Amino acid sequence: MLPANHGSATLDRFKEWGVRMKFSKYMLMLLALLAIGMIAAACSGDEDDDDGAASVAASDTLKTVLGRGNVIVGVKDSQPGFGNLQPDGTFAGQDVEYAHALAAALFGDKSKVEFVVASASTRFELLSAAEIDVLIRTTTWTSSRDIDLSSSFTATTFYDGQGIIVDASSAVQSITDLEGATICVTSGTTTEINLASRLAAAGVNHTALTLAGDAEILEAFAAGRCEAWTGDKGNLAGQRSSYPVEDGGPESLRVLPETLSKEPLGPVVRDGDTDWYDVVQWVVFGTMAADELGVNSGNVATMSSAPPSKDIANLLGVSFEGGEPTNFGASLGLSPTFMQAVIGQVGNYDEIYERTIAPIGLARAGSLNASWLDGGLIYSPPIK
Amino acid sequence: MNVADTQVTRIERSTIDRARKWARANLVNGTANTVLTLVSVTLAAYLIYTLTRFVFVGADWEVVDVNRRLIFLGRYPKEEQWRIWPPMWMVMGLGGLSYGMLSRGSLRDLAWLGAAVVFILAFLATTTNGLLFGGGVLVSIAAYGLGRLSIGRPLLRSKLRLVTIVGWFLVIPFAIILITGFGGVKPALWGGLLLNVLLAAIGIGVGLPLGILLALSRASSLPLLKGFATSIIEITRGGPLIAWLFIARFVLPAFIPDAFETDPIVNSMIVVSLFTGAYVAEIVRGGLQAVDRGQVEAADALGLGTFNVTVFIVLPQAIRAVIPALVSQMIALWKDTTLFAFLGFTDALSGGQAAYNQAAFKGSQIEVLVFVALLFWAVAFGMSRLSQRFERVLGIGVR
Repeated sequence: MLPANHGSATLDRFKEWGVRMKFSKYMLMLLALLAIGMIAAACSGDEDDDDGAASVAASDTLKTVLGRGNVIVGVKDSQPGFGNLQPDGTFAGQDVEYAHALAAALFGDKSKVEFVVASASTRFELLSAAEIDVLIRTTTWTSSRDIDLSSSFTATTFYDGQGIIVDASSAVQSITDLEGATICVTSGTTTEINLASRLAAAGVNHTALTLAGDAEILEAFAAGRCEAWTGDKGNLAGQRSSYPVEDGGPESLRVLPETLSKEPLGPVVRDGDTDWYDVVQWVVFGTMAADELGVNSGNVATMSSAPPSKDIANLLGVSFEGGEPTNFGASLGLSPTFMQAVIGQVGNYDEIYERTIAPIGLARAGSLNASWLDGGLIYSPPIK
Repeated sequence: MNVADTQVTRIERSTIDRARKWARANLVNGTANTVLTLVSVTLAAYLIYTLTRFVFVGADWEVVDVNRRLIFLGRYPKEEQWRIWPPMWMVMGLGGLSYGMLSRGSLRDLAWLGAAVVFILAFLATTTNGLLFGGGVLVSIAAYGLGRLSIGRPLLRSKLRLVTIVGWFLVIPFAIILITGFGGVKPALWGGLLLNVLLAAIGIGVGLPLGILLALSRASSLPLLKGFATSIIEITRGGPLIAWLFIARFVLPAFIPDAFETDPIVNSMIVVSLFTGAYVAEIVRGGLQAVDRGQVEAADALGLGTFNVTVFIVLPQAIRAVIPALVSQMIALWKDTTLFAFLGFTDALSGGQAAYNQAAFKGSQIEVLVFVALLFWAVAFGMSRLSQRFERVLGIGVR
C-alpha cells in the first residue's frame, strides 16, 4: 500500500500545504501588523520613559492631581466610623471626610474625589502603582511600612489601640483573667502578633482562633466558639455599638481596659513626594488647628471677614488688622483661603469626629483623640 | 362530557398507580432501601423546614431591601440610572424573542418565566423601577409571542433570526456606549451586579471569538502562527486569573505609555477576555480534533478553499461538539467576576459585604450572602438551561 501511494500522498500533502499557505497569507499579514504595532508601542514607550519615570518617582503628585481636577483616594468600604459604603453607594466615615477635606483644599469643592476601595492586601500596591494619590484607610503607622514600603505617613487622624472585648456577664475584668480562654482574632494582621506577645508577657495561656474578618468573628463569638475577641478599639467600639439586639445588644459586651498596642492611623502618601506630603499633612493639621482655635463650619464665614486673632487669620489666609496675610496656602501651592473651603464644607477635627466616630460609640472626651488642650494627643504645629 | 370525565379519572388513576408502583419498586424495596428512603426523606424534610423557616421567620431581609442599590449597582450614581434601562429592555426583548423562537411552548417554561417575573416584580414593586421593569416584561412577552408566531413561518423566522443575532451582537456595545458616552458614568463607578454582568458579557463576547481564532491558529501547520497561539494559550492558562488581574491593575500601567493608558476596568476586561480566550481555545481544539479528517479531505477534493472548509464545515461541527464544555467555561467566568472586588471595584458580592458591615446591619451576613448567591445561581442556571435548549434545537445528543 504505502509504496504504491507514496507519490500521490506527498503530492496531496504539498497541495494541502499550498492551500493552507494561501489562507495563511492573511494570517501572516495580520501577524506582521501586530508585530509592527507592538514595536511602535514599545518605541513610543521608550520615548516616554524619561518623562514617565520622572513623573512617577519625583514629587509631582500635586501637579498631577491639580491637572486632573480630582483627587483619587484609597479608602475602606466596610468599617463603620472610618470608611463604609452606604446603601446609596456613597462612602461615609472619618477617612472619607478627610478625602473630602483634601478635595475642598485642592479645588474648593469637596465633591472632587474619586474613591477606590483599597483592601488590606492591595492598599500599598495601589499606592505605589500610583493608582491612588493618597491612602486613607485605617492604616497603622509602623516603622516597617514607613521605611520598607516606600510610603510616608502624614499627620495621625486617629490614635487607636488594640483592645479585647468580652461578654459583659463574664467574670473577665482584665487580661489576666483570660487564663485558658479562646480568643478570636483576624488572620494576618498585627493584632494576632500583639495578642500573642502581650498575653505571653502577662503569663496568660490562651488559644487564638484565627478567622478571616469581623463578620466571621462576630458569628463565632455569638456561637460561643470564643470567649473574647480582639481588634483595634475603634473597630471594637463600632462592633459593640451595633451588636445585634437579638444577641443582647451593646450592653451585653464589655471592652477590657487594657490597650495592647499603639495604632496611629492616618493618611499615607508615596515617598519622595514632599509637596504632596505637605498638602495632605497640613490639611489634616488645619482641621486640628481649627478645632483648637474654635473655628467651625458655622462660624468660618464670619471669622474670615473679621478674624478675632492673628492665629485664626493665619489659618484662614486673611489679613489681621490690616497686616499682610500669611502665605500658608500659597506656599503649599493652593489657594490662600483653602482652609476656609475645608472648614466651611467639611468642618474642623471635632465636627468630623462627632459626625463619624462618635456615633459608633467612641466618645472623644478623655480619649487619646481629645485635643492636647484637654489632655489628648490631637495637636497641630503652629501655623505662622 | 361523560366520556371525558372517565378519561380524566382513568388517567389520574393510572398516574397514581404508576407512582405507587414506581415507589414500591424504587423506594421501599427491601429493608436497606426502606431505611435509606426514610433517612433521606427525614433529612430533606428537615432541610426544607429549616430553610423555609430561615427565609420567612429567622431572616431579617431589611439589610437586602435597604441595600438593593449597592448590590445591583454598587457605586453607580443614581441620577444616571436611566442609562441602564434601554439596554435592559433590549436584553429582555431579545431574550423573549430568542426564547420564543427556541421554545416548544411547554407549560414548564412559562411557569419558570412567571415565577421569575413575579419574584422580580415583588422585589421592585414599591419603586418606579417596578414600572420600568414591568414595561420591559411587556416587551419581553410581546417578543416571545412574535418568536412563537414564527414557528412554521420560515420567511418571518429567517428575518427574526437575523434581528436576534444582530441584536445580541449589538446589545453590549450599545449598553457600554449608553452608559459611558454623552457625559455618562466612567467605568470606575460601574458596580454591583451590573459590573458582573458587563464583565462576563465582555469576557464571553470577546473571549469566544478570540478562543476560536487561537484554536484555529494552534491547529494550523504554519510554525510561526502555531507557536504564537500556543505560547499565548499556555502562558495565559499557566497563571491564576487573580494573578493576571493583579498584573493588569498594578504592573501593566507602568509599561503602557500614558497616551495609551486605559481605565483599570478596561485593562481587566482585556485580561479576562484573554484568559477566557485561552480556555475556549483548548476546548474548541478538542472539538476540532473530533471532526473527521475525511470531511476536510472530501471538501478539499471538491475544491473548497481552506477558509470555506474551516468556516462552513469544520467549525460548526467542532463547536457543536463542545457546547457543554463552553457553557461550563462561561459559567465559571460568570462566577469569577467576583474576583474583581479584589482590585477595588464594588461588584455584587463586595457591595453585599459592605452592606452587612454597615453599623445598622451587623450580624446579617447570612441574609446578604444567601441573596447574592441566589442572584449568581439564577444567572448561572439560566445560562445552563438556555444552552440545553440550544443543544436540543440543534439536535445534539439526539442523533
